[in-house]
Amino acid sequence: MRWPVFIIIALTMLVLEKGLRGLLGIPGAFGVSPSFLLPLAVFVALSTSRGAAMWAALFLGLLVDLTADMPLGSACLGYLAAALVTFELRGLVFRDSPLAIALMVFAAGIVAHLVIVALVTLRGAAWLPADALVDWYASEQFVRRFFVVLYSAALALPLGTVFVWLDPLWGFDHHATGAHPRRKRIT
Amino acid sequence: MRLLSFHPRRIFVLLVVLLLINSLCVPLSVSKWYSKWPASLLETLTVPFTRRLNGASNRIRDGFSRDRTDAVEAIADSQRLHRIVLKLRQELVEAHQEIERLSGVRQRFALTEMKILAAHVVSVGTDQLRRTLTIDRGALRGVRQGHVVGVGLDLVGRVASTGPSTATVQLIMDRATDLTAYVVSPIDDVSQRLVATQLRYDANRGVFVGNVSQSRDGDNVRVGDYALPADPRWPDEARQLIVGYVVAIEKHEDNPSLLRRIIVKPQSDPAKLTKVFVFMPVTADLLGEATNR
Repeated sequence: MRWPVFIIIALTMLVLEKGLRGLLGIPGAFGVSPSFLLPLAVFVALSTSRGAAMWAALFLGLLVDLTADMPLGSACLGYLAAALVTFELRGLVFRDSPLAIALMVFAAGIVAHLVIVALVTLRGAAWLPADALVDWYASEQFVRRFFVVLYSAALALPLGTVFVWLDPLWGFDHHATGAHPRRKRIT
Repeated sequence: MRLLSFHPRRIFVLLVVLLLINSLCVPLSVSKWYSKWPASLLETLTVPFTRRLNGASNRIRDGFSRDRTDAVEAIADSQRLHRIVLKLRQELVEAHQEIERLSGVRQRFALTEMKILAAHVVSVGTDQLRRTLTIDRGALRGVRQGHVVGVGLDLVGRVASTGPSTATVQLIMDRATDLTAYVVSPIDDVSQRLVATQLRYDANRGVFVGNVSQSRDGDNVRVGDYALPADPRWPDEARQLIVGYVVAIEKHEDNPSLLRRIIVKPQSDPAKLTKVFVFMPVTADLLGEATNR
């Protein structure tokens, strides 16, 4: 995988995520807006080697942590868990299918947000020295984040199409070996 | 020495452990302090693009919501105006009917020196011994005790008492009513019949009952004739209003050979009245009031 391409696309996704929040966000009690970084993490985990996928997930999680009002590390570990799940499940799907990417985003997103909510909620435990976040309610977060994941999975359909279309740019291993990515099941 | 070598996997594991410790054990203020620099760097890189994109998306969203809001408001306004137009049409029709009715009353009275005051019924009394209704016009509008109250051509009653802005009307549909009346033929009847009688209100049947002489007036009263008040205790303006219509002529059970009983049914039901008219003869003070206006 070409890391400069990944970093540029990751930053572009971050800009899109923050910039289009006003347009794509659903106003309401929860204020749900989709994640652009999660589909990217899933796509990378579907396409590249285990090590690269883990580093990429860590980097994307770091971007989320640095731009959100969250303790550093929770999203990193959440995205890492999502990448692990995607990596384990990727043998079941075609990597160049946007529908497969959307389904994986849903599955991996659930895991990622479970980890994030668990870590942030654990901070409030009395036996840990960290301070709990103000106005943090796990149940409320679960509901809101479920809809975020659902929305992100819906967004992953067009976004996945773009990622697959940009496939030659990424320089994934299967490309370098000459294998055609179309309908290639990665094992 | 091998432990200290920078193997990517070891670095990765170390990083994950540090992140886990940071996310669970480090206070938020400390975490924010050392993530401040990378966060500001990231912000520097992304904010120029994010701001533009955000502005564009807000403009799109605002424009869309404004258009939608305008359209929704326009539809709501249109529906509201349509309802108002319908209501105004209904009121216009009712007003025309009232004008026709009042014109008829005026012609019938042949009194130009008469002020007719429209009043809404505020409440209908529940006392069965003394049936009254309250109207929303009182002494401040010139209503006085004894003024005749009607609806259209029908006699409703007489003002019994007045307050500043309300008045109580004693209904003719009352057990105490004992009214001298003329039973006259309708206008389109050329026979020009007229019979005097004394009407009493039968609350059980909701009709006025009067007696007429079988030998003298038996043929002069027919179903469909109407009864006009002719009682000297009532003001003159009441005499052209209608008490009710003859709906039946019955044999008198006590003296069937000499008397007939006529049943006069009032046209208006006090319980259903919403608007009435107070007939106010123009007196010197009313004329003065009108001149001042």
